Amino acid sequence: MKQAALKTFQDIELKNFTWEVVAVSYNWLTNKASVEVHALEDGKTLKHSRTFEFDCPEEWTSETALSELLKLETFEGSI
Amino acid sequence: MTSYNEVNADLTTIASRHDQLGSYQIGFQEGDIILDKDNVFPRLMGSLENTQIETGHIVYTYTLGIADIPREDFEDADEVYSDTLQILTDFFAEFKNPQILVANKYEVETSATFEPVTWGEIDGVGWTVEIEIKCPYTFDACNAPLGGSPIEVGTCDPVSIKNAAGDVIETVASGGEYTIAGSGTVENSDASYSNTVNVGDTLILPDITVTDSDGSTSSLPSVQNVVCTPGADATVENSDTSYTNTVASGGTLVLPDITVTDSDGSTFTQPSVVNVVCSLAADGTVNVNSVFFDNVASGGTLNIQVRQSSGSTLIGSKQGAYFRIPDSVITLDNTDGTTLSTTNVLATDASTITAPDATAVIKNTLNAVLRSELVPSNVSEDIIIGDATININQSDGTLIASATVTAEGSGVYNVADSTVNVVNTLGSVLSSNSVKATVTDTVLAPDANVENSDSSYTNTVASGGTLTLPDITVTDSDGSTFTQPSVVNVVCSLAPNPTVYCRPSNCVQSVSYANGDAAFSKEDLFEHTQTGKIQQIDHSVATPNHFNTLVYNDPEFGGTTRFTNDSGTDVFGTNPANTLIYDNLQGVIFDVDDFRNDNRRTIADAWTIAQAKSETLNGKTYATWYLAPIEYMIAVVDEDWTTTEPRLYNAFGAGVIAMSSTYFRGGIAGKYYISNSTSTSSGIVVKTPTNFNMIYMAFIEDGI
Repeated sequence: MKQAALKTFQDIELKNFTWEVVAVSYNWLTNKASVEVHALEDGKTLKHSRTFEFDCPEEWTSETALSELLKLETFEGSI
Repeated sequence: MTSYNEVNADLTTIASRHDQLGSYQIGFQEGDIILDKDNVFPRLMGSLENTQIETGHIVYTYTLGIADIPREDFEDADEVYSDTLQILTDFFAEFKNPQILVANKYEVETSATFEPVTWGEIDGVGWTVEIEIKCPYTFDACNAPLGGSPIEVGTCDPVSIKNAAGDVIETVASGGEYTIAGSGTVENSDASYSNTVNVGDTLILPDITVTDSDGSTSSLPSVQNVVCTPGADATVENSDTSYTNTVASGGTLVLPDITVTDSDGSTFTQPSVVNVVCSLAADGTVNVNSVFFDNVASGGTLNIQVRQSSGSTLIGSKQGAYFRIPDSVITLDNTDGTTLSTTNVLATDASTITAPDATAVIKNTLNAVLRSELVPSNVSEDIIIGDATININQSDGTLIASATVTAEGSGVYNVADSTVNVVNTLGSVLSSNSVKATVTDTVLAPDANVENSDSSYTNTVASGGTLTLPDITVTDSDGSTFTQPSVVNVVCSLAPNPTVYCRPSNCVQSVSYANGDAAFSKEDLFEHTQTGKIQQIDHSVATPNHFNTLVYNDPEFGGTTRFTNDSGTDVFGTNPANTLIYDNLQGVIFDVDDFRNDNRRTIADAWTIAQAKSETLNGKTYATWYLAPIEYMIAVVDEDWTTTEPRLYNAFGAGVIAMSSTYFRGGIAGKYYISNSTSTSSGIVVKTPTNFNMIYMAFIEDGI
């Protein structure tokens, strides 16, 4: 996905970055899903890795993870 | 003669051209006069009443009637009367202005009576009037067809031919012919113009040229009076224009007489423009200052010259009524040409002029006044001047000798010789010479020798001269050169420490898990924006045994407190029961076993001391530090360890880096292992030093 706006990626501001979900894990003790996202700004080589945690109902799938990410301010408007 | 038919025709012409008439009937050509309601109205009717012959005329008397039908009950009868009357009067008007429709061959009476009538046959109204139309009649019987034809000629009177004066010049029988023969002569009164013209022809006389009084010419028809414009008045004046007058062209001006005053004062008059002859006057007498001088003829000139007492120089001038002689100027000069006084003396007067005394001032050669006396002009007096005293001194004023000499006198005095010794600064007499007073003698002083302490430079300099030593070239500690004056202490600058940039190899970690971790530093700080050198912390603070690293993708990167123990608990402020400290940001694990055992300090103390020490070293705050990622440590390992003071970049020899299976977190082995142990348990032989420092990397601007 591509986010053209200036957004806060947890603790860092990124602009014009391409992001991808690299890992989705589930902690059955806490019943939470962790989604690891890598973001890469245009013209840069360093990828930034951040983990987003969601409450995880039974029907969760990878598609659900993506839809939940797109609801966040960081990824809103990505195409 | 105008016939009855012609009159009818002319009346018909007028009626036909009148636009208001509806119909008309003139005469009886068409039968009796008809008037009925079938006619078109208004209708004009004309019938001849009678014809009379009067003297020179034949008179046709017509009755003209006009009729029109008014409306029923005659309510507009007046309108019809008015209109029809107007039509009838138009006939009279036309005959009185015959050039419009009829030829100029009639005369009509200027008065007529119009009678209103009613026409019963049409129930109409109108007018009747009689009009007398006169035509010339000459009783001409020549063409009268009397008694049958032909008419016999000669029964008529002969024709009389008259000239312009009415005189009968010829008589010709009636019906005969007469030819006017020849031509006439036309000439002017003085016969200067003469011409002929045939009878019946026209002779056009030529124009005459008239020259006017002012000389201009014009052309005018002949046999007309000519009026010339008068000439302008003439001006009369005498030669000095004291008399001016005018006289009309062709007029006469009588000049006034003039009055002549004769030489004896008598006067008489005579006509103008006549030469005047005056009588001679008697001789005149010339007196000078009432003394007879000479006679002068009347009108003559006597020139009297006023001269100086001798010679021919003319003097004096006319001033008003007198001839005056100017004053003499007496100038008193001394012998050098200086004017002492000037005095004006009237001509012929005597004057005494006194010359002032001369002043004799006696001075010495220093311009000091010795004496001053007055001497009468042109008188000789004696003035005595005293002797002069001459002292012979040295240049510093010391008296050598003394003598007297008369004013402007002369004497001979000898001055003793001087002795010149040349002595150096050591007091040694180098030479001695006698020199006469005021004489210049040349004494040569020997040159001085100049050399440096090792005699690598030698030179000489003349006594009193200046020797400029050459500059020396200084090669500075950094190899640069500069020049400076000799015999000046040289201060060389300290060579700056060589800039050592430790450019570690690229960090293996390619994904940044937290700001400030190894990958982040490489990307945004270390390689891109920072320059500096690796600094170390004094090993006395802590002596960690080993360095290890987390695996590059350890999920604990940035996820917990940066420095923790193996259990993930913050190590600051706690007793280090566990000897391992994890830098969760950089992924380094180090063992502080020695520190704990040897220094008996808490880890918190150690960190505090270490931070303060580092800030002392580089002037940066702790926030600018970064613990060297393991990749950087690998890069700065130097095999050439020779000094006792450990330095980061030569702290180890080769082969100190190996994969570790001992130190790990959560059962995952670290990727790299660096140890100062000589143990080979890990399969790696490690060289000295024995104490392995706790190392941070700080980026500072200056060298170590």
